Amino acid sequence: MAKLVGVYAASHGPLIVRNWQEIRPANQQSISAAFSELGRRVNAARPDVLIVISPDHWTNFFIDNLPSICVGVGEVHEGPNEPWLKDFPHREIPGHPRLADHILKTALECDFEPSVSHYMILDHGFCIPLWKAGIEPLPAIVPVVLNDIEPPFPTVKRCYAWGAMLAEAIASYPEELRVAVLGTGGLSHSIGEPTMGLIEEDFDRDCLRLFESSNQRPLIEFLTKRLPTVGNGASEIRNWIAAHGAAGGNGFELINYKAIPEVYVGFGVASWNLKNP
Amino acid sequence: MDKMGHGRFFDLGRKASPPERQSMRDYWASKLFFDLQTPAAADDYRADRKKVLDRYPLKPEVRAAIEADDVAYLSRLVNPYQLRFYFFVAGMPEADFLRRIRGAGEQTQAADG
Repeated sequence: MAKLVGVYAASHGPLIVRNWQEIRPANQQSISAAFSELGRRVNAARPDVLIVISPDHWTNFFIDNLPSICVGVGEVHEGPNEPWLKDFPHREIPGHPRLADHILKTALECDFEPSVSHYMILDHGFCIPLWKAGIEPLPAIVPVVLNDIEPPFPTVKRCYAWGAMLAEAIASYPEELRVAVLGTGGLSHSIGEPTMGLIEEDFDRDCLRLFESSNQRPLIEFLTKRLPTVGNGASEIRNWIAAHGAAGGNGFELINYKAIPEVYVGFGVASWNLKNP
Repeated sequence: MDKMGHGRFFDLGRKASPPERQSMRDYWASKLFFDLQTPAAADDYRADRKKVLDRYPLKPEVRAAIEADDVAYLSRLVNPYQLRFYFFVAGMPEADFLRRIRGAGEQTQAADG
């Protein structure tokens, strides 16, 4: 049987890479230290497969067909297409079609109807945390695109349930496999709208406190109410919620949070302490 | 404030409410912006905007807004991430884009009274 060996979340703001030289040294240090700790934990967990939950930033999908949730079932995925990620060390990223297929079947049994992709380009949302955390060797990746970019969005409650379903799929997978889950994006940020650049630190800290409380209902209610009122990038916290669901809503541990205006994001990295990893 | 305008806005806190998120989009403006993610298409566009724009059945007012780099107008028609990406590809300096998109919020607030 497969085993869930780790659950994590991390921001993925593109300016972490694109504008690295313009980030103040203290903030560079915060980012690097948080990613290093994330990498240490992921590498120590030795996952064979990492399920990465991220939005698709208009890389694979367009408004002529935009899935709420899509699972990448390919043998291989393509590395990021953003020119400023040309130094990302993997142009081809191995997938795990058998686990991905099992996730799809489990999802359908649980009344989810995700879309399916047999070939996906993994943009910065997937690759920045993998790269900056130094996750090497890179395990097989099962990418899950969750639409946090273009409304209408899946509900926060549904994202939590998706994460719980992932845990169920992992537990019921018949092969021996070590599996980890990584949700990427967030916390608060605002892109391409009049509040661009605004980081809502109070919102982020309230949100993190609720993650730590291990009581998912107030967290889901808080985000359902507040996400429409803050910068659009905060919508990516849905991926943290899915990770939280995979961890059973318990054991959240903040590795670091810092509002970093040079990258426009409330930068956060977290992991979940699982009961029996 | 640094050259990208980060510090000022961050320090002032919220000055404009985020717009109500919409799911109605201008398809062809969105398609143009989407297609420009291909580096070769972006190169073509920077070399000859008119030639590329001619390939898309844009409404006249939308095309005019694109030709005029009208950030505020276009912000009502396309996804914000696409908008930001487009002006990055089109060569607008980030500080300029920030000034214009923040101005778009002030215009909306003024129109709302």
